Amino acid sequence: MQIQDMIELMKQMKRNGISLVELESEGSRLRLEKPVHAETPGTAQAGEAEDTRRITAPAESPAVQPPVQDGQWITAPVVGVYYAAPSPEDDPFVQVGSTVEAGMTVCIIEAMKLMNEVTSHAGGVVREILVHDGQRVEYGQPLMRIGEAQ
Amino acid sequence: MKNKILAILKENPGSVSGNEISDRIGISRSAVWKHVGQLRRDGHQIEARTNRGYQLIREADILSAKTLSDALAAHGLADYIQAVEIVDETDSTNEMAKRAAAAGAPGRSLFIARYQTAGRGRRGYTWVSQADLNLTCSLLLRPEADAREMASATLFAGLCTAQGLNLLVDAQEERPFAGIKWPNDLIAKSSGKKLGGILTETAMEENRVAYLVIGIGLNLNQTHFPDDLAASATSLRLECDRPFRRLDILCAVLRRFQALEGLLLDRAAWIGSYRALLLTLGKTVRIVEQGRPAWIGQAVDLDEEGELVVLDARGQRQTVRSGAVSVRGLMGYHPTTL
Repeated sequence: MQIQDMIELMKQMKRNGISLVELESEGSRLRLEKPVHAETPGTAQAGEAEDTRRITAPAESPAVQPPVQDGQWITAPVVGVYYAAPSPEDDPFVQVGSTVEAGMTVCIIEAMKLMNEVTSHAGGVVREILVHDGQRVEYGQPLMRIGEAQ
Repeated sequence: MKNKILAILKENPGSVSGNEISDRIGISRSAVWKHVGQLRRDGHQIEARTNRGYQLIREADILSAKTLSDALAAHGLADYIQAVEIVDETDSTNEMAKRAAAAGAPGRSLFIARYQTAGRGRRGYTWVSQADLNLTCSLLLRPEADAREMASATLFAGLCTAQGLNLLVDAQEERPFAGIKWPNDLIAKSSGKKLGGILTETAMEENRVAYLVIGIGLNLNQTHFPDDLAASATSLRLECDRPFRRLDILCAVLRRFQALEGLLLDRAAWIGSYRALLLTLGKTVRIVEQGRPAWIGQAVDLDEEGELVVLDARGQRQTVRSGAVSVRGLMGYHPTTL
């Protein structure tokens, strides 16, 4: 099995929510296990690099621990590219410190030319944004934290 | 009165005498003649022949609330389309649809403008369209779906639109006419130029789809394009050498959405039809993704979600999820270098 095949396998696991794959062929064995909490807020950098590390050290727990700050996380509803603004010429939907209302669009995630407008499910103030314009995001990846207004 | 005369002419595709018209609606023959003159000024092409009477050669391409509702009824779409908003001018029909969706418009609402001042393509690309020459419309759908189930909605929209075009054009030209450049550009197969595009947008609430807006822009009767587009853009009129009516195209496309909408989430049911129209596979492609240098490869397959699989220079399979994909031989792209 090539490294590319392993990466593809891990992508499919992530996409389909599979947490364990064991494979045996031609005398070699592969066990891919995804910790259940991998998609909870805090493992913001979950991506291919981290997955690759997990192959070599499957027993190791993720380096990044979930944060303990207050507020609600907005996570990526789909795999795609994160856009902070409606178009490259426009101002971002929100910045750290912006006040948002429930139902307001906070970013766009593009997947196969489908522009997904992500809305905030809570009102409050944007406390932190973990991703940057143009970044690839995975399903469930935390994008930004909405804290209570003062 | 002139609408009654137009209705009689439409009922009689051969020809109908001035006498018959004047008898049926109770006006004099000279009054019939005057109203026919008015219809001609409206753009209808009507021939008057001695001893034969009047014949409607071609109905005018008039887009109004009345002609639209008549056309929807005539094509069996009156029950499908739940609401219609038609305006002379708007920023973009997708913005119209999104504003209406936020205000609670029902699924299967149709938004149509005679002129778009700020038509949009992907990521702020502008879509230039001359008033009354082209079709610009958006369809609002409200599928009961999880966000991730919408992944191939763009492909679905491209399929319905291409099939609609082919239904209308092939019926008369007897050749496969439109194909698709992944994911959903509409391409005239004979010239490899772009006939139109689709911009699909959704709003997500808590990972559920609140609505799906499918914006369709098709070049119908435009015969001149700006220099920078001339090599890549075309219109139905340029390809087929005859004018087209916007309502005919619109209804043909909507009938495909009507037929296939129930299968939107069942990709396996339609992906084969999509592949059959796809012009990208087997071609050299150039990929421009954000945050990565442009690269060239061979488009070899679609994965099970409909994403494009490309072999890169080292023979590695790569999945393209976003970004711009140019295809050698289509839309004036003939790469020699990156």
